[in-house]
Amino acid sequence: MSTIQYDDSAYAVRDDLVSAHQRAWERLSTAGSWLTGDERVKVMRETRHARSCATCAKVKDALSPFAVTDAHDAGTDLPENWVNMIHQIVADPGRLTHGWYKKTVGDGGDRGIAETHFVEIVSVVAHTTAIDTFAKGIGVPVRALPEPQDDAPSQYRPKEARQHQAWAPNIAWDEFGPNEADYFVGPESSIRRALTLVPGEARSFFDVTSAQYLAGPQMRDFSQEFRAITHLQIELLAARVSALNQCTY
Amino acid sequence: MIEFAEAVLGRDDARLQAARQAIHDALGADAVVDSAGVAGLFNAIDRIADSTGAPLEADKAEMTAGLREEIGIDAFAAQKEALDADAAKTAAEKKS
Repeated sequence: MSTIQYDDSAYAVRDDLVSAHQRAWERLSTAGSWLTGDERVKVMRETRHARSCATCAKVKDALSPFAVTDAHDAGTDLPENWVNMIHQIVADPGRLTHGWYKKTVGDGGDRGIAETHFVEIVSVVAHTTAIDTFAKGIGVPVRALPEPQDDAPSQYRPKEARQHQAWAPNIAWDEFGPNEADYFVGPESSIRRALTLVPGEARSFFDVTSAQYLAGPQMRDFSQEFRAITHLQIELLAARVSALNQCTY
Repeated sequence: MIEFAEAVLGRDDARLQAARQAIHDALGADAVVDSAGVAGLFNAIDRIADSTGAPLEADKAEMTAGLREEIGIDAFAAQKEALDADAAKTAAEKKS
């Protein structure tokens, strides 16, 4: 069973938010474009495990995150380079560099993680982080992980995806093909492009975004409020979270 | 809002409980849910941006240039460049 409820919360959670989380949990439990359902749930488990990793704490405190060479405390049997990648993203996202990206995907000859897999892992880490942080915010335990489904990855890579200014390949706003026409609507956005090497992940994450934050048109409609907190309060909160994460975007 | 953001990313449960209660008392129960949603979403979206190297759009960069410099965001990018330079130097030293 791959479902989420917040019946134990002291605060009533909007139905659309519960539904978005249920859809996300269902998608996370099934095969993606490149990872099996079992691998995706293990990435979720590793994301949670990284929060208590002693090496990650050292990385966070070190002058350079790359100066720490201790092995990370793995919570799954995922490949070591996947574990390292997940832990770095969880522990110290603000100090991830282009050099780290190239090393992680194997640029320069080292055996690395395929860029398609890299993007899908980032997406699973991000989904898990968004939903777990929400649970913490309303004061309930993280939700039970979904049961992995036994299906096969689609291995779909959009032919329009290519290298641009971002480190990871993606689809330019004016280069999408018919399969992605539903996604590329509204003003151009770098962050909406970020996961489009694996379009299903981009769609899924921005489905969660619409429920936890705002849908695209709502972000730019200052004539009315869509949440119990104002646009200004939303942006203040978002800016402080991003500053704490040392996010440059 | 700022206190809630700091508390939800931290490890002090009592601080988070107090921040949550403050939002509840000032803005109501739904505001707690929406604040948790936004904080959670940005805690995730920051990781997408930082791990894929998503660049800031040119128009946004231009509009926010002064603010970014004033509040120190530009320093984060400079720090990344320094880290890569240091890693390259260390790798070169190991080779020689």
